[in-house]
Amino acid sequence: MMQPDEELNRTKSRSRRLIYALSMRYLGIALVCCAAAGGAFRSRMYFVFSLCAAGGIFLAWGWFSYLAVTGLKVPGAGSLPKARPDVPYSLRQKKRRWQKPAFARTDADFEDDLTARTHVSEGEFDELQLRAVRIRARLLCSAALFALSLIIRY
Amino acid sequence: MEQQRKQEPILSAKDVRIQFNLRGQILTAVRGASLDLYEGETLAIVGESGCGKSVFTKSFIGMLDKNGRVTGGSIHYRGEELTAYTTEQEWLKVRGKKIAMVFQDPMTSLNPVRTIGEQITEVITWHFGTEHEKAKQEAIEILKKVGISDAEVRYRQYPGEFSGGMRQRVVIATAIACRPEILICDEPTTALDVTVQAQILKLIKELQQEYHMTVVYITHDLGVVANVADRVSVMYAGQIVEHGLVREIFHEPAHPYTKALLQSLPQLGVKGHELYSIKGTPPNLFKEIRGDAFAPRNPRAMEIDFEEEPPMFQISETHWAKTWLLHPLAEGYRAKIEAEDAARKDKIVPDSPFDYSHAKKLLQVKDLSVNFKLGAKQFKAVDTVSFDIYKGETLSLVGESGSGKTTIGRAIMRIYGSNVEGSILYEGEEITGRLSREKAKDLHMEMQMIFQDPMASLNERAKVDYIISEGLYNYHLYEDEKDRERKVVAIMQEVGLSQDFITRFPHEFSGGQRQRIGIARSLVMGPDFIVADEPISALDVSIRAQVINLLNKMKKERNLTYLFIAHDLSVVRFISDRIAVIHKGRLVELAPCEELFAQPLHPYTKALLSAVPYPDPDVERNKILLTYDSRMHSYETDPPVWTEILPGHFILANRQEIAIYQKEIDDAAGRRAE
Amino acid sequence: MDEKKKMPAALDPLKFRAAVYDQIAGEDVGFSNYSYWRSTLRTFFRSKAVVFLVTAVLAMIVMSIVYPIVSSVDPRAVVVDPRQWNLRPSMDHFFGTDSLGRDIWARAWYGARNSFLLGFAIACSDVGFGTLAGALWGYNKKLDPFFVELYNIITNIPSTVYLVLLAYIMNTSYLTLFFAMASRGWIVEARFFRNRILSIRDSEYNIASRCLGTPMHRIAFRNIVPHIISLIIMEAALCIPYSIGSEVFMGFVGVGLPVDAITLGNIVNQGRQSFTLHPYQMLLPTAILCLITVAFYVIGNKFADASDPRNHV
Repeated sequence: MMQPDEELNRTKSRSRRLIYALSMRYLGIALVCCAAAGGAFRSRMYFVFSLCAAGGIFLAWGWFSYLAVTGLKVPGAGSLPKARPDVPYSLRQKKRRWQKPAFARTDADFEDDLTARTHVSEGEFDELQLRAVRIRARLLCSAALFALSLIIRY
Repeated sequence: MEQQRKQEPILSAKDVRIQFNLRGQILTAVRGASLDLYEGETLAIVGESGCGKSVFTKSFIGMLDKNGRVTGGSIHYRGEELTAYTTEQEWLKVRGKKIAMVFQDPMTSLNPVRTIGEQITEVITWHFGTEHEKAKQEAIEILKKVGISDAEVRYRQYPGEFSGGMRQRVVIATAIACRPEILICDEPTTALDVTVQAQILKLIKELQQEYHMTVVYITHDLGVVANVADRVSVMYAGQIVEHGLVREIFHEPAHPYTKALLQSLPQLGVKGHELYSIKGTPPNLFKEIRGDAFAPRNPRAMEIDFEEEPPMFQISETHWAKTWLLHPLAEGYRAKIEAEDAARKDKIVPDSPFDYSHAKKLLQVKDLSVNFKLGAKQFKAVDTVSFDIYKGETLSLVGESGSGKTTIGRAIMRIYGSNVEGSILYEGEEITGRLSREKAKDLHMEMQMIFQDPMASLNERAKVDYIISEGLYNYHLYEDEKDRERKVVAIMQEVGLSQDFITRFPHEFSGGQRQRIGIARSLVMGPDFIVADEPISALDVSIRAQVINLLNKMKKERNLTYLFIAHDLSVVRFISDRIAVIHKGRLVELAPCEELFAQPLHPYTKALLSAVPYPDPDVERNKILLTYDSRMHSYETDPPVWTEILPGHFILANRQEIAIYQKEIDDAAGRRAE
Repeated sequence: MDEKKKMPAALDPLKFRAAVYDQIAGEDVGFSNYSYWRSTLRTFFRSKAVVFLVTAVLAMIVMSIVYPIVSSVDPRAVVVDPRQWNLRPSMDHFFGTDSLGRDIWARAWYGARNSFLLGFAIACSDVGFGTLAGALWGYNKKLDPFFVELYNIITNIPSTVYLVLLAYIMNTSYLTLFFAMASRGWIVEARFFRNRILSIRDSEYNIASRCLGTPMHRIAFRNIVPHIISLIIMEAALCIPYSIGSEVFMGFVGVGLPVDAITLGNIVNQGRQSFTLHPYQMLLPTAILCLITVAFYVIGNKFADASDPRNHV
């Protein structure tokens, strides 16, 4: 039996975990793009500029998704078409994949007693919570990008 | 049943052959098996492991391993020829939607990193195309239906957060989410406790009624078969050797293999006598099999069994068997066998029960508690347990998984250091806490342990020689290399292992042989007292009998004392003198074996007894399943004490309950007097 | 019924009597002599591709060690004469020369040596620390909360973040590259080994050893190490292509090692600039790079399969 209080706390701490994981994922993608831009122009300055730009993009993305939740409809920005549902796991023929190297291994590749403590699946939350989590993750990522652009000297 | 005959089968498999390509060698796992399934019926497929039961049914849903394929025969399902399917898309029209499967290990069907709710929702949206939110509601409904309380909260949890029984319920939920016509359950309850097993079987029965499903059980547990099946197919070496209605199979088995399976059940054994056991293992299917595959293991095989494969003989409208014994020419021999069996049955008289009047106490456990730390929480695995073990007896400790029975065994073996409270006396001397090296050595030579899992209890990277001599090495219990080798060979012969095995690795042995290696490893130390931790629960029926016989033989020859830990009361009855029942870390009842079965007092014992599957369909169908809920006691104001309610019969109860139990005993005595 | 038809026409009535029961045939084991390591290696080398890849990798390792010792060609030697620049592959220069007239063949082997060294260093640190931390973690359940938090913090950051950030903040050198790569891998390895060690610790054969009074050192050497040694090999093999690949990636996004460092990443990168005019300058070192990466990845995986006793026949 789970008390409502306990449940609320669980949801809170788990959504915090998801925000962290998501924002880091965004940050990873952003950094690679920025570094590629910096590499293409062979200049550290471009890297820092692109960090700023990426920060701005993420800020805007977060802001617009917030507006979308509150009811704003951006013309021409409909939601992405839903992908066809995957074959359910229990009916898949092949479940084991190739052994991954450690760097590519995520906690989804470990089947142990720690799974519930290291992994947050989006299915734990309902639609509204998920949107809130995504907005926060985007904002956090943009903040991190801005901060990085200030830290790195060129 | 009669109407069923006239119906068309919904699924019909004919002469199915399945071959696996294992690194250049061809393994014929299924050699021409046939099967008909009728609407709404329950069919059980029984046989030892390695007989091709799972492989056969997996071919109905295209879930064979990559290197395996159907090389002959046909599988017809509602006018579709399933063997013609080649692509995954085609199979997905049938798999899950029409024919669903529940495996022994729930984790093969559950994704460990998705919440269970998502996984059921996923199945619903995939099959019916339902909107996500609506599917979610349906998933919660299904979770409730399979008996998961708090479904809304449970929806968001991961498979890892569920117990084994609960996981199996979730798997059943994902399986029925598509409303399949046929549900195949592959050993669905083998890994579960008897009480949980009984609940799961009941659940499947109810769902079967509700959804009008056809259910196929694959199992080696004949108790389960007796409980659930309308018809039974017995499978051996990739063939169906006998099939018939459940009563026909249990009461008039025709194939020697079916007879042997039934005879080797400990439930049917007589105390103090050898159980019937089937020697050896199912044949190696890499080789071509000539004649009747069971012949080499059948002490009463006929010469023709080794030469010609028998055809299916019809015994009755519904009963068929594939054995030469049914041939008209074998009539004389059959009569002879039956006469022998009858004569033997009459001769057997059970041993007299253990005499406690002169028995000495070998081991005394007083107020034993074992605590574990789980994160910040303290968890009492064993809670103030007290009992004595007398020299020469077999005391059984029975309880569900997680009840702390293994922990008690290991605490006695001094595996846990500071977690143990209370005292354990061996021959009057305290053995908990730190001991001198000399003392520890003596104890290691006096007390030994036998383990549950024949696969996990032997070091895979060591040869049999090292495994058996490990104890000898530790205390240098030999004069020279030759002496050590001699000791190892002697003990191997004693447990019935050929001395050629000495240089082999455990990987090469069958479950029963591995268990014998484990027994040899502990016996080589020459112990007086043995903790046997579920030594037979992971074994097939036929092998169980071998191991029980060996344990009994060793007990007689070496005058051993056993603490036998088990979860299955039926097995325990055959070998033990006294039985202790444990629930959530506390002993609830301890009584002489027959008394416990005749007059269980504690409600938990009663529930446990009612859940034990019995291999007789008539008994099984009429049994009433009792459930136990520890909330029924009111222990807040009046805590329970460990009381001797009758001489030798202990029970955990408070004063109020003792009065009730006392009355129960008096009533029973009164009834007997009348 | 059609089975009836298959029945032999005439059956000998004499055959319907008791046969002699062969006790030994009934107990037949059906397995031949078996040893874990022999079977692992046999399964491993059964595939022709594996034999080829292992030979190729060994040859390259030997070559990258031997060549810098034996050869007198200086990979850094710049030629002033422009006629020696951008030469096509020939007998004098197997891979040709680059835009400064340096011999690419020589550079490739020096680069392979440096990249291998970096790879082995990362593999050792990842798997080494990972095994130790995993053993600690596996043997002390009390450390669970600490390691789980650490694991969550470290692994949620993608490895590219470590690489790019460290390179930009501290400037690229062998050491920063090493730190960036080694900072994440070890905890993943630790969890991997923790699971293995936990299951070995709790498995019954280990409890059996303790019941028999086996001393700790023998438990470690007979019960634990033999069971994880194949995993260590596998994990290390899978680490190497990652570190070599990461170094190339760094060069690609412009924060690679300084130009004077000879590594496969730098050679490929320098080749990239003159790719349109002289494609071989990039293609040939890339071929070596691909071969190394793919070979180690495939070898690691095949070894993982082969070391699983379920795949032994």
